[in-house]
Amino acid sequence: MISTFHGLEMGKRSLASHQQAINTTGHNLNNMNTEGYSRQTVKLSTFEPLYVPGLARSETAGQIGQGTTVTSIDRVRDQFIDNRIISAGKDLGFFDMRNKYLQQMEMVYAEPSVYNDPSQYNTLRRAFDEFMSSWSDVANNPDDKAPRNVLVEKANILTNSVRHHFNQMTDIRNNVDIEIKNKVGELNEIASKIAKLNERILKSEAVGDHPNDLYDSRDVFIDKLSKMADIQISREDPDELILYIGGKMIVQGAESEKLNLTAQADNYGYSDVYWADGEKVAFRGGELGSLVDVRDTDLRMEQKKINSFAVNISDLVNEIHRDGFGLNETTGNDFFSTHPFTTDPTGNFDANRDGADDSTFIFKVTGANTLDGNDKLGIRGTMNVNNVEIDYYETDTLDRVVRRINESGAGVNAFLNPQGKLTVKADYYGDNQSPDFVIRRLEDNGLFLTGYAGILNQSGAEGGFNSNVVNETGTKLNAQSVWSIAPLTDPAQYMAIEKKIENDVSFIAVASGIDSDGDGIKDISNGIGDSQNALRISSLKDNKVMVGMSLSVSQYFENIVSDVGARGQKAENGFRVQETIMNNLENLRKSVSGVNLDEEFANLIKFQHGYNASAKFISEMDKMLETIITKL
Amino acid sequence: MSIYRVSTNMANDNGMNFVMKKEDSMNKVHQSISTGKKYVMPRDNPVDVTQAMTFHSKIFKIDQLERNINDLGAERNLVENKIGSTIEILQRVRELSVQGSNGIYTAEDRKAMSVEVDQLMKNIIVDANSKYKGNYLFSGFQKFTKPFEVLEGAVRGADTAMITEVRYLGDNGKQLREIDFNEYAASTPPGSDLFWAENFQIYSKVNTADFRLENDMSVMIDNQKISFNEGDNAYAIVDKINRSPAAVNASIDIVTGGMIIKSTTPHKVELADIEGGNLLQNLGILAQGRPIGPDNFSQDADVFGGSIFDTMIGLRDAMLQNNAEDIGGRFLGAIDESITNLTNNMAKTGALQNRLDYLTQRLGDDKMSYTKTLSSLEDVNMADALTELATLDFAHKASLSSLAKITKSSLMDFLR
Repeated sequence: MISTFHGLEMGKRSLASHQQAINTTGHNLNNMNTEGYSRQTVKLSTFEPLYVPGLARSETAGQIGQGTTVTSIDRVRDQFIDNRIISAGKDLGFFDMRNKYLQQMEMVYAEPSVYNDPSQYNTLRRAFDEFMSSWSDVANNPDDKAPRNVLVEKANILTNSVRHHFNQMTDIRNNVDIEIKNKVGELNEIASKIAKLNERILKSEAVGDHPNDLYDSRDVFIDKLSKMADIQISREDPDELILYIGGKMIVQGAESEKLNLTAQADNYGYSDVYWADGEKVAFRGGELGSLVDVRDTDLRMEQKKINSFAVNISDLVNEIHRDGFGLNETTGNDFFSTHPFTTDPTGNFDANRDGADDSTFIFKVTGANTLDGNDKLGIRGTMNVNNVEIDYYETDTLDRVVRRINESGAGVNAFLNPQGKLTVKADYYGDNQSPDFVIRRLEDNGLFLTGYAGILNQSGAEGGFNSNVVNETGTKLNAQSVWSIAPLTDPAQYMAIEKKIENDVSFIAVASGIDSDGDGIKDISNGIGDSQNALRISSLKDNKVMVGMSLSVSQYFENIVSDVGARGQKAENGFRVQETIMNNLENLRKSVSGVNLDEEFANLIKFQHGYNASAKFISEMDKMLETIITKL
Repeated sequence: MSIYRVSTNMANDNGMNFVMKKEDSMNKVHQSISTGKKYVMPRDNPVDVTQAMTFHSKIFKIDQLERNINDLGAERNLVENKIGSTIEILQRVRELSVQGSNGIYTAEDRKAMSVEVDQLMKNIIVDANSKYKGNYLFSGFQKFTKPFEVLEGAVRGADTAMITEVRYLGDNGKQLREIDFNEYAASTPPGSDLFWAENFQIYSKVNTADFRLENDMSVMIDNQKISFNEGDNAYAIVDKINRSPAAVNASIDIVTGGMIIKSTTPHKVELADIEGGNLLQNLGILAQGRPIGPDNFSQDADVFGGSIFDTMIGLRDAMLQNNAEDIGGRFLGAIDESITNLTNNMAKTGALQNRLDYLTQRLGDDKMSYTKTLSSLEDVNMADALTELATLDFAHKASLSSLAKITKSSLMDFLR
């Protein structure tokens, strides 16, 4: 026989359950616009029915239902979609940051021509064109001072433009560095928040609850984190959620790690990201991965390209300029000022700052012997230029070998200078093993660099020139060879005209001359009306002098801009694709976990009816009990 | 994408996304229309943008070349004028020579002619010393130096002071200008070329029979560098000189064995030993110890071949001395050679003008073609852009309208 108040209890239970269901529906409606909210559903199941088989069992037909109860409040969430979103987050973050900063980098070059206004010329290319053209104007009037003054102005515009471009890149690098610092701070904060949430969730789960709102909160933070770095998540242990970056744990249950920033002395003081135990963080994607990449690879390469332009133009113009004569018949003057890496005339330098010189930094070396490009070598062997092996054979002509050196990817420009001597000039490198514009290694197991060109004294490894050995210029290089010390780092930062020339334009070497005493240096000017030196300089515009003598300066600029444009295009496309992918995934997630207004209202009505029914039932039970109590 | 359950926000968010994308596209098209150019950043089309850069540079260079050509043309005009005026004066001198050689005229007549010849000489000198843009036109590279220096003094047979010597103080330089890609031209011949009457000749007295060069050496003849090798004998040297582009002819005198150098067209030849060499000095052509410099010829060598002025002085003196034979013979011949030289130069300068005209035409055509290509690369086609804008605008309005419809009704509207 069941209890008298069995019905009432059942009704009460049902009311409570339905009230809970209505509350939850209300919770869903209230949180329709909350970020990261997943709709919650109430799981109603029947209460433990009577009677469980046992000695206390009553002799009635069973089992008797006891109404409904709320067993759990679940959030509707598909973990597989969540995991996919976490995995896609790093790609979106990567391309987002990359696109943002590459766009800034593209705008520095101001091509196409400051949005195509031809009267504006703050592009490097235009400044260079005008500079070359002003040499041509000087050549038209070699005896006149006015075009020389214009030349100095145009040269100033050029050097200003070079410095400006370089400094803009530096500014962007600085901004990226600041953003890295901010993001790492943000990352640390989010990681610690996740850890704290893990703790609270653990406590709540221990007493059997589903802390749905805490779950949602945690998932929002994890999503944010997944954009910043390449996060992997491990949910295998239900008591301990683990997040990894690059294979190392950043959050382990209630514990979180902090990432540190350490300024790098050999990278302009920019910060690298480290774990607390000193290991460098290996980002493989995410915003931080992208930012570090952009700062240290993309932007640095652009700076190197601008440096290469500055160094090569300075060097080429200076070489021709020193050969010529000014209005005042002086010769041997540079046009652009040069700053050598070291003031030590032997090129020695102390690279590891331990107090003793340990390196030799030279920029270029010209052999002692006069050669003819069409000559067949007649010797064979293998030379090593900057750790790239280059073979040469008896049947090769000199021009062929020179071309081979240029195409070898050794990072040098090789050519025969106007006196017919072989010159090897260093360019920029993709890595930071040594400064740019420094010849790293010259070695030859045959006679090409030694007896033939007159650059090295001895063949073989003992005669090889190495930039990380001291005193090399005195011992390894031929005594009659001519070499020059490497320029100070980042030549684009300090490119300028020699003060001497700015102060007196008579020093500009427009005229050519002759060598009267046979020392190889011209000493008598042809006269004021001669313009041949100026014409030589202005012809640099179209000669192939850059990148292993394969590109003219104009082509070099075009390459830079098209490269930057192509990268930018790739980044933008990548971003749009990832954006679409993320959008689709989020739609999937919303489809599962999002609140649908109509559905919730329908549920509301449903539970309302249920509530009403329970209430009616209680009312009926009440009447029945009244009959028993008052009427019996 | 099949989704069976649509959350309320999804419709809203997606709808907004599409609207935003349309607005972004419209903005881009609008920017193109406003600037008139298709591309704003290199990433919009890296290939076309860099091609456009090439054309910008080419057009810029053509502008420079046109400037150079105009400059050259202006100077050339002046040169042509001066040549013309000098020829006119020389025609008159020729007349006087013909007259003077005629036996009819007396010594008095010839004396009168000599005065006129002297005056005419002064007129030519004024032309020869003319200036262009403030500096001397005909002095080669020495633009600040007056080309022809005049010395006057007493002349036998004359009543007043007359010109005794005219010296050329300039050099043989010709100023070059770039008129086409890597092509150069000079407009102005130096005074030592233009105002020269006779072929320059130098006869050395040094016997070259046993001569052999001990090291490699170079010389400079009329701004041409000629190199010789160790072991060359006199004949090898003569051969190399003749093969070089310099306008001279070298030979060895059969009798004396000395070297002879003659110019092939009338001009004053510049000879120099450069780079510490001493070949010409050892051959007795240049004075020892004077490898470079104007008039550095050896005192022992015989030098012939003078300027127009030398001829005219000679003519005038012959007139003063009543020497009809020389007037009609030697000097008339020299005057004819001078006129021929000037006429040749006139033809050269005319040919240069033709070349400049052709280049101006061709560069103009090139520039037009480049500009056209540039425009097709860079400029936006207004009709296309405006049509695109209209299409996008329509699509934009459509998505806005459908968005409004989706978010309008929900169950809420139907509940009591």
